Amino acid sequence: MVRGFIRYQISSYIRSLTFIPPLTLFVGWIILFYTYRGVPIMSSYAITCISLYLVMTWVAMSVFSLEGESEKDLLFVQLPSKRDYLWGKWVVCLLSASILAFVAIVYPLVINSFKETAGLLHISVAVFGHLSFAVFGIIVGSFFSNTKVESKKFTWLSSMLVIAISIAGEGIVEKAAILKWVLLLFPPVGQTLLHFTDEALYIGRNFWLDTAWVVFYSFICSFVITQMFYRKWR
Amino acid sequence: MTFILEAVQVSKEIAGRLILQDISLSCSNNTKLLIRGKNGSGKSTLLKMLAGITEPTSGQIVRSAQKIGYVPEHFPESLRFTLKEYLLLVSSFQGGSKASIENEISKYIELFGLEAFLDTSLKACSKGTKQKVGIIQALLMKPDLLLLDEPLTGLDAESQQVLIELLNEAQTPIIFTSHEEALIRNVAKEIFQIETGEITVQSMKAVPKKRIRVAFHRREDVKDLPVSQQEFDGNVAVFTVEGNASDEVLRNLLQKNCSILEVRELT
Repeated sequence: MVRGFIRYQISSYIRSLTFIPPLTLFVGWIILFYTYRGVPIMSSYAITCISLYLVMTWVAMSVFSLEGESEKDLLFVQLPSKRDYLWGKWVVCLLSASILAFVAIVYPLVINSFKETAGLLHISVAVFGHLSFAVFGIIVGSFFSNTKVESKKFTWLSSMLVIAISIAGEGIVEKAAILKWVLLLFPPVGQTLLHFTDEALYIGRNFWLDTAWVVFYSFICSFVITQMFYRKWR
Repeated sequence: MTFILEAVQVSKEIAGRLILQDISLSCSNNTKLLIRGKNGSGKSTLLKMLAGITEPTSGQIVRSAQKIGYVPEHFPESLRFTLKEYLLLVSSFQGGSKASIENEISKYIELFGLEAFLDTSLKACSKGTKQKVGIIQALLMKPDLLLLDEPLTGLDAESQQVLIELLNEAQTPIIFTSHEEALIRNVAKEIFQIETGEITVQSMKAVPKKRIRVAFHRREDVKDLPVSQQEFDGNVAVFTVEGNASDEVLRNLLQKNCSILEVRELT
């Protein structure tokens, strides 16, 4: 049932042409970024992760604003539940994210941009990182698409603010340690990026702890967004 | 009696304005209920609440209906699909084989005369065509309850007649809003007055005669019809028909590829 809705959403998203700006920007950026040869593996992947974070926020906001009011009303009745509508949107976002992450990970390997040969460990951390950052982007995009505030200006500004704070999180904590707890509310960008090191890349206890936090954070956020979605459309 | 849907003391407030207050109604297997009220009295809001699109601010709506078919007053303007694509996609939400879905769609497409628009973008379709698509998508769901918001809006006389017949033949309970006398008289068994919250049973009034103007190809196509009066002018005939027989006459004429030019009620 939701498969039909996913097809509906993908067709609608493609035909809306709103995918072109983020996709072009992202792919263009990847090509431009890897015009330099002999770049370090994990640092380069860290940068493409952050780019994916930004682009996926954009994609999620576009996917959530595909329908007008009356189309949404009809879909709420046609689908078995409103939850299917929300999950259908997320699946479309994840599919888009997978394509973009694939490009970001595979392109430098194909054109041999890195100064070393990328091993399985590099690729595994890169896949995990890109997917995590894509999920953070989808979370931020869907969070601000499901607030009761109608102003688009507000939603864009707020999401950009959240992205900026989450990226600058480490620096903010260094200057004002008191904000450490407040920053727990923001996507754990810093924890994930910590593992993108070129010097001593290994998967140890800290990696798994941070991964657990990323998964837990994503689940909590999806629960909160689901509740916000129900409240907005009740 | 088992209820398909029951609304108990339902109220709805939108942007601080009370739209509906203490509405109670129920719907069983044989309900054909018209919701009547002035413009802005909250009829569409009530239908949306019954459909589960919005929730009441207070009160409760209990639904045992698994599938609800909903026809909005205004079909979405900006759908990015062709007519056929849209119907195929929304039917697939309910599951079922592609062949059976296509069969069902073909049946309704033929009934509403939409063959020529199958590959037309919905954005480019007329209001009436979109309204027909809105009706078909609801029927394709094989709903346990049908909710229709002004379903005759924008429909030509022929399609209005088709819809009225479909609704009369349907075993599905129906709740609808309409300002069209033809639909009210032919379909509604009960009337719910939204301002007072009263439900009245619709008495079976004598159905007025109808005047049907039709263009035909061969004279024998329009022979032996149950009409009380007939006049011919070339390939155009004007029939006066008893109200109860008008559906049958129209069906016969359509089957014989005649073009219905006008259907008018005689007062």
